[in-house]
Amino acid sequence: MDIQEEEGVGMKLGTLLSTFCLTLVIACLSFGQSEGKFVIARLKYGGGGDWYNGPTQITNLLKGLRERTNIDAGTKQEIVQLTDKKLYSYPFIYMTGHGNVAFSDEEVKALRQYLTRGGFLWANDDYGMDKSFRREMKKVFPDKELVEVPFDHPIYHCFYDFPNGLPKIHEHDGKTPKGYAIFHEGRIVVFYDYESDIGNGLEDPEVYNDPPEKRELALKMAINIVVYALTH
Amino acid sequence: MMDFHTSIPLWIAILIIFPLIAAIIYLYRRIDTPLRRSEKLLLVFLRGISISLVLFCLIEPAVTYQKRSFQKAELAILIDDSQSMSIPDMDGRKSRSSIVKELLLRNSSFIDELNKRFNVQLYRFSSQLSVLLDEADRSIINQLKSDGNATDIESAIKSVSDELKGRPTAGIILVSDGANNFGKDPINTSKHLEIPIFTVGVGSRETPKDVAILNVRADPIAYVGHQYPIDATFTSNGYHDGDVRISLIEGRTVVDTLTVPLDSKGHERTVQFNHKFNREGVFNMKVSASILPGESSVQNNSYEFVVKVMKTKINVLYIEGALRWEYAFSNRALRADPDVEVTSLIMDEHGYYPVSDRRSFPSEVELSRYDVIIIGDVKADLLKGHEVSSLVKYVEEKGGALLFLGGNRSLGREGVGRTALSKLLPMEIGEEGAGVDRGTHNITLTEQGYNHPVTKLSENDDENSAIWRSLPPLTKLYTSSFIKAGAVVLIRTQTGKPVILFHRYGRGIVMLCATDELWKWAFQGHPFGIDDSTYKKLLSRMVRFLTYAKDKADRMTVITDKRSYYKGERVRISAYVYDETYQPIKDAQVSSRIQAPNGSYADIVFLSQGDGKFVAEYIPTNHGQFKVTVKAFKDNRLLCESSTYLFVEDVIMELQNARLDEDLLKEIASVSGGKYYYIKEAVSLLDSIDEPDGSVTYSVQKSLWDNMFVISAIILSLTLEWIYRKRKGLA
Repeated sequence: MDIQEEEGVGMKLGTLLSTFCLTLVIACLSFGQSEGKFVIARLKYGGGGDWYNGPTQITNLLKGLRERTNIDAGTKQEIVQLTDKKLYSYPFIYMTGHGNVAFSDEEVKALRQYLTRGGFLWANDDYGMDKSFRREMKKVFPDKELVEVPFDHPIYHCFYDFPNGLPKIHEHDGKTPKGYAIFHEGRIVVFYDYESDIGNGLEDPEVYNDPPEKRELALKMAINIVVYALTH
Repeated sequence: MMDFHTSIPLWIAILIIFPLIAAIIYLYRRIDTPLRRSEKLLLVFLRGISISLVLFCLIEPAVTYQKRSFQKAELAILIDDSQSMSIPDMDGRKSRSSIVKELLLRNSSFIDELNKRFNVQLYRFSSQLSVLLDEADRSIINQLKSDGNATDIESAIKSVSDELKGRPTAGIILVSDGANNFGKDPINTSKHLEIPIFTVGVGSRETPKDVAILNVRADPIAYVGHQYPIDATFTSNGYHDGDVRISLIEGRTVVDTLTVPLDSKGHERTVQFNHKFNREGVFNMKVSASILPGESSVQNNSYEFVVKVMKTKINVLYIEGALRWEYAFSNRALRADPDVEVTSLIMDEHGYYPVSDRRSFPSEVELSRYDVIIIGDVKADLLKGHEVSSLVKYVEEKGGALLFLGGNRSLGREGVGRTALSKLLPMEIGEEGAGVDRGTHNITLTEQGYNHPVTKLSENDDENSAIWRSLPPLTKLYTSSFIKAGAVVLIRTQTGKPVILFHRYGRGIVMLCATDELWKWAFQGHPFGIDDSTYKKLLSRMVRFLTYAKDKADRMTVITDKRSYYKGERVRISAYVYDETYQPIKDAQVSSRIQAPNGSYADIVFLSQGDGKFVAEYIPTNHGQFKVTVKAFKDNRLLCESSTYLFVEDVIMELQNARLDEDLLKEIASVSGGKYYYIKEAVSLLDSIDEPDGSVTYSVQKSLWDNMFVISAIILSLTLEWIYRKRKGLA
């Protein structure tokens, strides 16, 4: 005959208390992080590309925003997919990667709606994302092109001055860095940095050992992108 | 069962009668005249009888008992006598009313059968109910004129049911086209009446050929040289192909025409005109559809409205101390408004941002050139003392308008509560800052918000309420211990916390949004099924209202519940009256003179609703532009006055959308336990009306003393006693 030991009252109380504490901690963390603050959400996309690359990029940018601007920025990035309902809690989303980007039909529709309703997408080519990114954006906006942003555009001057456009952070193919954008009703809704890699410039210093001046330029340009999104 | 009762307690009567009898016996025993004992007893008896009977009368004895009688049940017949019953859409151009007279009232077998079985009472109704009685010089049929200017079915059936209370009732027969356009929902009332309603529908069942302009949405204010969008909603019925031309008319000039294909299914569609005015002024505008062959009504082919055209753009200065989404979306919405010129002033403790339109705080003179100043999330220490003073002066002395868009810094511990700006706010914010209420806050319009130009986002009340209900809930509110007297709350949470409110301060006006999440109404609206046009419209209206309200920093605001009306439609006018310190005045005497386009005028008196609000109603019988001038007096002294305009279309309300509404009539019958009949089959309803138990039990009270027998007995006993005393020599 099997003898089954009943869980004692102490065990039950212990389990309950641990669960409660864990829930409280998680709630506090998320409450403290994003409640009313400016937060950037990283876009998780399909296609096989490493959407998760550069885990310290956003946190360093948020830190820079807190230190250098009047923006009440959070401390951690969020992660979101285009079909998440919580997408509309984040009017600013960021994507990067080296590989293939692929959006489902539902995601294409969702992204178009998100951007035309007031959202902003900053896409950073980490080296290798260009072809698929352009292909997917053509699905999102068949009627619009990714156009090169002129150097006198406010995105290059709204906080820091970049008279010659995007800074060159990483070598990639050795080409001139270019900033491309999709405009909607006169406003940039997608900003795409190509042959620049601002995202990697935001990483912790020990990741790429970039010179401090490169990292500074990357942070400044990233701050400009955020300030532009909040003022246009 | 009988109940016996007296006017004074029986034991008191007994206490009185016995001493009296004893006194009579004593007196008769003492008389000198020799009488036998039996003779004395007779006299005592006779006197005792008369006194007892008098005492009997004095105590007013009566009995109450139940009686039952049988009577016929009541049956009320309500006949719609409104103007829509004159529409000639039956049997080769016969009017609805004539069909009713022909098939029901002149049909003696129908009426006679009803009279045999029930106590029938006939009524006519439109906006009011009245009894129909056969008179010597005017038969019932001749009293039906089809001249009522509104149809209020709910009020008619409720009035009749109140009259019939306590009496056995077989039902109500409601004869109408169902074109209900006034009063409360008749279905809801019918559900609770406990009287079956048999409805008889009158009117053509065929879809009449008609094109109607249902509604026009256009801002009441436009600007010279700027695009002015006008959305006109129309329907077409009965036409399967072809086009209709819809024109925009300014005064008497056609300024634009659109050709639209017809849709036979009656779907509502909207066309948009984009017009530009080239001069200032007040313009009578009209949207008009061409008249097509065979249209049943041409009076609904046009819709008139008034627009005020102003010369310059609204200048807005937007001071922001923290870049945030509230700034991003509101700035975007205002800059998208072609009639608004926004100048931004974005700063932090290090100075002004490069993206800011201005790099220095405006001087007092420069400030006065702005129509509205928006203050975002600005900490107290970002503004120097003289800058705060100039903002206060801008409102208090110059009559400027401020819009506070709440934020953590501006309404927090380090916010405006520590500066003189706090006195400008419509709610109390001390040095500790506002409270913060986090949770899920669903919002709703307040009573004042329903008809306010800022929050009335649709001319249709139901649509307006639906728009506000559909907005995403807020998760953060800034709260205060009290709202200042005179503050008007337009939007609140469903638990009563104010969200958007304003008040007059000095010569100016200040509005506060007690949240920094209005941007969600633009961005997050989509998952809830609405677009961001609601948010843009709200921001634009806030700015416009603040601009015009500040222009006449009056102590009275006059608003009507709509801008356009039909002839015969009730106009509700509200006046808000303030004293010199802009506190609401509750005890003023408020009246209005309404001048009609033909020069005639009507004087109406307002009733106080409390808190400085006064209301009145008016029914226009002409069409055109009416001027409403309202004055407030106290102790015979004029306090303040204000005026507004309203427009009445040359369309009789009763004839708009006057198709036979069988759905409504069927629903009324269904929920009340009755049945619906089309007029041609109405005679069949004789078989549907049950005869309820007509017996009635009631109480009857009968007095026992107030009759000839008692009076006669008193007289007889006194007379017999006197005769006997005479014979014995005692009299």
